[in-house]
Order: sequence, then C-alpha cells, then structure tokens
Amino acid sequence: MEMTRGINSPGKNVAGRKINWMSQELILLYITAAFFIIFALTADGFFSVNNIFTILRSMSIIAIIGLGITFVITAGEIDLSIGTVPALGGCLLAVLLVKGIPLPLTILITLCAVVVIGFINGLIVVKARIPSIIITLATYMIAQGIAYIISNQAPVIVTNAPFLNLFGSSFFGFPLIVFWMLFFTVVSYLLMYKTKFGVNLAYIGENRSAAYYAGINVNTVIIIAFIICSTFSLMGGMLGVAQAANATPWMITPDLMTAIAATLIGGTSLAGGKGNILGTITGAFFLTMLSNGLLILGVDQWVLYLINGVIIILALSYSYSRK
Amino acid sequence: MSVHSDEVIVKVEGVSKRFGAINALTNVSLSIRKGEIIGLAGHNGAGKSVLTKIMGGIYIPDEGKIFYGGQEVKLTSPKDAQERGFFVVPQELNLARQLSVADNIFIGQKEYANRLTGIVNKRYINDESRKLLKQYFNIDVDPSTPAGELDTVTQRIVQVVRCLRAGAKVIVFDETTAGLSQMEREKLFDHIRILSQKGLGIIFITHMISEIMDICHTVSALRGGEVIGTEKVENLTPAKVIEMIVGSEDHVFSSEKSSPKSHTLLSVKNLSTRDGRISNVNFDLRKGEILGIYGLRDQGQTLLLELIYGAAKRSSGDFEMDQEKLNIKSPIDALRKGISYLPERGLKSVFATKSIRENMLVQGLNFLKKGTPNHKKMDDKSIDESIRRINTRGYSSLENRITNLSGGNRQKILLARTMLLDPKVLMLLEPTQGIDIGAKNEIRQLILQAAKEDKAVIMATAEIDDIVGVCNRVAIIKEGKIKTIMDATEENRDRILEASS
Repeated sequence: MEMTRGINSPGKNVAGRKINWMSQELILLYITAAFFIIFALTADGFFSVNNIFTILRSMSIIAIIGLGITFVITAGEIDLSIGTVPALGGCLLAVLLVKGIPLPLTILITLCAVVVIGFINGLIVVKARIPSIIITLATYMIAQGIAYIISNQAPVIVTNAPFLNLFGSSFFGFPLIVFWMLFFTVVSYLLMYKTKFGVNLAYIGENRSAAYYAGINVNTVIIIAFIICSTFSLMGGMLGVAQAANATPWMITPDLMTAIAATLIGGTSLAGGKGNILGTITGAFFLTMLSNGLLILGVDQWVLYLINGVIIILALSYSYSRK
Repeated sequence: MSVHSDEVIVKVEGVSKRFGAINALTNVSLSIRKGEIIGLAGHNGAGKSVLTKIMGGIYIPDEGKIFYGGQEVKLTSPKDAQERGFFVVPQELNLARQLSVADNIFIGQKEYANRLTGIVNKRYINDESRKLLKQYFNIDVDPSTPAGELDTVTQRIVQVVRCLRAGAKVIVFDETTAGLSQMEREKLFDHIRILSQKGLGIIFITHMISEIMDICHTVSALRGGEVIGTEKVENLTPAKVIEMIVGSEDHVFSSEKSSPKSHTLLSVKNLSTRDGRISNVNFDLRKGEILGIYGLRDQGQTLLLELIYGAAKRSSGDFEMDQEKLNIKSPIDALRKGISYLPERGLKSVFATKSIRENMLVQGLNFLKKGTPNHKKMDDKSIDESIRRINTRGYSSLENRITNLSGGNRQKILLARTMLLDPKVLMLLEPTQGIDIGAKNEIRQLILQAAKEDKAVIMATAEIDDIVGVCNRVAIIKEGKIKTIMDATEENRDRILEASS
C-alpha cells in the first residue's frame, strides 16, 4: 500500500495545531494513571514487575482484537464475529496441527479461512447494504458452529513445539505475546495513519456518500477493513491457543465486549470517521489493569462485568456529549 | 400595491446583541405592520437571522426593547413569541413526511387528540385542515394525504397553515425559495400576497434581489449587524438594494464571458436511463465553454450530471473525449479521465467533522501522482495560499472544521479541491445556491476563470442569473430530455424562462 503523508496522523506537528488536553484519549490516560497509582498504593503485589507483565500478557489478546475492530468501527461499521472467529481460527489451527500438517501451511490455511469470513462480512455489508450488526451476528453464529463441529466440542491439545515457541514462550524473560501485541500496534498505526487505505477509511466513516463522490473506492476499503479485523482476530486466537496449549470452541468469546469497549473508550468514534490506535491500546490496558487491581483487592469477578458496563456507558456519554 | 395599514404588530427598538467579541446586532430598530411584506436583505452574517431570532424569543437581546401589539414584552423562549403570534417557516421542509397533511397542521395542538385517551380527532382535524387550506389559499388538498407526497410549494403552504392555525400574526419566510423553479416561486409568492391581504405581517429573507423587488413592500438592509436603511420598494432599484447590502463596492456581476475554442472536448451521445428519467440526451462541449443546464426543479439535472460522472447507471449512451471513447462506470473512472463533479454543498460533498485541510486533500490524495506539479501543491503552505487567493475568509488555521465556515466560503474550498486535480471537464450542481451575493459573484468569477483556462464546464443551476451571467450556451432540460440548446445571452433571458416552463 502506498504511503501517504498521513494527513490524519495524530502526532503531526503543524503550526497552529495545539494539543487538546481534554481529548478523550488523554482523559483516559489520566484516569488510567490515577487508578494505577491508587492500586499501587492499596493493592498488595500490584506494583511489581511480575504483576505488570501479568497485566501486559492478559491484555494482549484483547488489544489485538480491539485493534482489528478499530478499523471496522472507523468505517462506521461493527464486527461482532470477532467473538467467535478467534475460536474458529484457533480450533482449525489446532486440528490441522494434530493431523500433522506443517505449521506454515496450517497458518496459511487458517489465514485463508478467516480472510474469507472477513471478505464475506464486508461484501454483504457493501453490496446488500444490510447493517453490519446483523450480518456479523450471523457470521458470529456460523463461525461458532464450525468451531464446535471441527473441534468435536472438546479442547484440542496442541503440542507443536515451533508453534508454542513462536506464540507462547518468552525470550530472555520477555513474553512473546507482548511482543506480538506491540508488533500489531505498530502495524495498525502505520495502516491507519500512514497509508492511503487508513486515510480513505476515515473519510468513508465520516461521510460515505461524500467519499464516494470524491472518488474513493468505498466498497474495497470497507471490505479490507473487515478482512483486517478477521485477520487480527485470528492472531488473537492463535495467541490464545499458544497460551493454553489447546484450542476450545468457546475460547476468547467473552472478550468480545471487552475488545469493543477498549476501542470505544480509547476514543474511536462509534459513528465512524475517527480511529484511535493508541487509544485502543490504552483502553485495553485500562480495562485489564482495572480487573487485575480489583481482583487483588478481593472484588468478585462477576462484579467486574458490571463495572465494565458502567465504564462503557460513561465513556460513550462523554464522547457523544462533546459533539 | 401597498396594502398594509399603520397598525404595528411587532417592533424592536435599539436592540443590540453580542456573541463574545462579535457585535451581531448594534442598535437595530424595525417594525412590522399589519399586511406588510418586509424584506430583510444582507450578506450571511449581516444579522438577519439574529434579528429574527430575537423577535422570536430564541435569543435574548443585550440591550433594547421588543414590543408586541404596542406593549413592551420580555421574551424568554420561542413559545413566548409564538403565543404572541410570531412564527418562522424555516428553509428546510420540516414536515413529517409519512404523516398526513392534517396531522402536520394540528400536531402539538390541544384539539389534535382527546386529552384522556390520546386518540386522534381524525374527522375534526381533517375537516378543519380542508377548510383552512380552502379558505386561505383556495387549494383543494385531501388532508389525509401523506405530506411527503405533496409538491414543494404545497408543503410550504402546509407549513404556513400550521402557523396560521396556531395563531400566527407575523410569519418569517427564511430562504424558503432556495431551489424552487421560477414558476414555483411565483406560486409561492401569490400565496404570500394572500397572507398579506389577510392582514398578516410577513418578514421575507432571501439572497435574491429580484425576489425582494418582486414581492416586498419594504426593504431593510443589514450590514455588519446594523440596519443600513429601510426603504419602500417603489423607491428602489435592484442596483440600489445591492448597494445597501454591500456598501460602496461595485458588486453587480458583469464579467466578460469566456470564449470557447472551436475544439470539441466532450461529446455526450444518446444518453438514457432504463426508467426514462433521462432519455436520449445529446450535446457537445467545447474547450473553454460553459454550458448551463436549466429547467424546473427535478427535471433530471442531478441525474444527468451523475450519469456522466459514473455515479448512476445508464442504459445507453456514449461519451467521447477528444474523439476517444470513454468507458466510465464509476466516479473513479471519470476522475481518472479528467471529469470532475461537484455535487450540491452538503452530504455529497462536505466532510462535516473534518478540517479544511482534510476536505481539501481528499481527492488529491487518491488521484495525484507523487512528483507531479499538482501533487506538490498539497502541502499546507500551498493550500493556504491557494484558498487565500480565492478570498476564503473566516478561518485561522487549516485545522479548523470546514463547517465553521459560511456557505460561500465552504463552496470556495470545495471548488478549490476540485480544481486541485486540474480537470478537463468540470461539472457543477447549483454552485451558488443559498450563498450571499458577494460570495456568489466570487464563485461565478472562479467558474469563468476555469473556462478561461480552457476547461469545459457544465453547470446545472436553478438561478437564471447564473445562466445569463456566466454560461455561453444553455441546455433546457424538461422531464429528462434536452428540449433545446440556445445562447445564454441576457437578451435570451425571457426565452430561456419560457422554454423551461
């Protein structure tokens, strides 16, 4: 993809552009810092190298899936199939590895499978003009069904050493899963702000009709966004498999809302037109840190659902109130 | 002609209003008498809408007094003003399109539905609506028709009847003629005259000087928040009204037209759509020529331009550029071949939450090759220079949202964006609609400039002044067919109007 000069790059320093200290992503950063300090002072063992790495490890999958959906939401669409595509990808991968297919070929086949799902999602959205929330709910169910069928409704154990090493091990004490998160963050950043694709995506999300009349290839760009989203979901699934050394058809599904929440509280507008890569990462960190800290403080895990829901409502109210 | 009495319905005296550092109104006095049609003239930002909003209770003035029926009042909400009979018919047709005419007239009023059960008094509102429409305007409309099915003028009338039913004594018509054809305009004016004869006061806001001369009894011109003068129309000429609006500057548009080359640039042959909304359109366009497309509303103007642009599907038709056949299936194809299209200002053209820069660059990013001279014009300094050169005002940085600009300045940015691609053929839809006369003339100048740079221009507009002032030839469009093509000279003005109706 051709690099552009990045007209929607958030970091571009232009005369007359001032930093908005009250932007949603910076407010999220203040709140994250505040909670970090509170937890560090009150929760035993929170502020330790070990626990920080625990947070980074547990946020990685949410962050990568969140990055994927950031593209779709920037286009003004939604992709719910990220709830089950990781499981489908993970199960397919595990089954193929068990059958003795070489790792590179396995990854290629799974990649093709999820690209097809993303392509179908995107194609139906742009051609049939059916709301993406409906279409992707349907593909969510299809992916879930396939995952259950191919896994025979039970965990599929993975013993392939190269795979486990590549996605699940540590390198001199640095967990590779965190490396993959950073890698995908950089890739997302470049895609969103430094390529023609990312710039066009923001125009499309802001006003699809004007984008069409301006000569942007609207359909192709939206389909690519869905494919990116599925591909990132697969990556989430592979990391999940590598962490547990097995694949289940129900893995990662509960992270669906957390990934979307991370994206939305990070400042990506649900109305489209504004994607925020670093905001998504901050959002994923914040939500993971919050549950980590509260768990250490002895708060029940189910209460965390409640808290996450309230946070989404607050974040959305804030971003909509400023329109 | 003057039918109004001396009885004043509403009066403001010495009214001032500031927004931050800007004096929106300074010491303005104005009164509206029974039966009077008063025209408010002035540029965007001259204070017309602030003034009506003060009379309508939307803004509270910093200084000055408001009188209704000779009594001083303090208005705190639009409802206050409505109770005293002040109503606004806004520019947009704000009817509920699915609801019936009667629903639209009565909704929100106490007779609309039974207070206990909430059941709509259908027979009552239908009978009353029919009576009101007949009694005031002598129109027979079935009150149970969905409002969205009515023609534009009748929808306006439904808006008016809604005000009348709610007890209107003064009605403001805010830019209600934008986009209307000549004939529709005259029909609407007849209805407004009826209101005046029935003793209502009318405030008429428009950018069109000819409309002021046509319908108003009195004109008040505002400039920079001050009333420059209030005059009887019979003592005025169009030139004088313009002078009141713009001051001493010479703003009557008279610029030499472009002189087309003999070289035919674009030929449109046998263009039709399956549903026949455009059928068998043929024309040639020469380099440096401006071709106007003129007709009543919705005769296929938009569709014609969008077909050439590849944004709509044709069932037959060929395009040739420089004798070479063009295969255009999408806007992308058209833009690659050097055909640009600027739709109406709004949803199809403006990225409302994006900056001036982002709005400027959207096409260049996709269609200019790196290293070409035009690609080099995409840095901030060049953009800034190019939009300053065309007198774009009202921004402090390219980071400002485009929607912070006035309509005219927005249109200049959009034109500049289109010109950045250096198109061979430039198609424009209603390029001067709803913008003030100063900006209008600047836009006309830009279009002429483009033609003088050997671009070919197709301009669909409902404003006859654009046609005779700018175009070389005009194609009259009716029901999707080109009826005739003639020279767009001032002498042909009446013939053009006649041919289009």
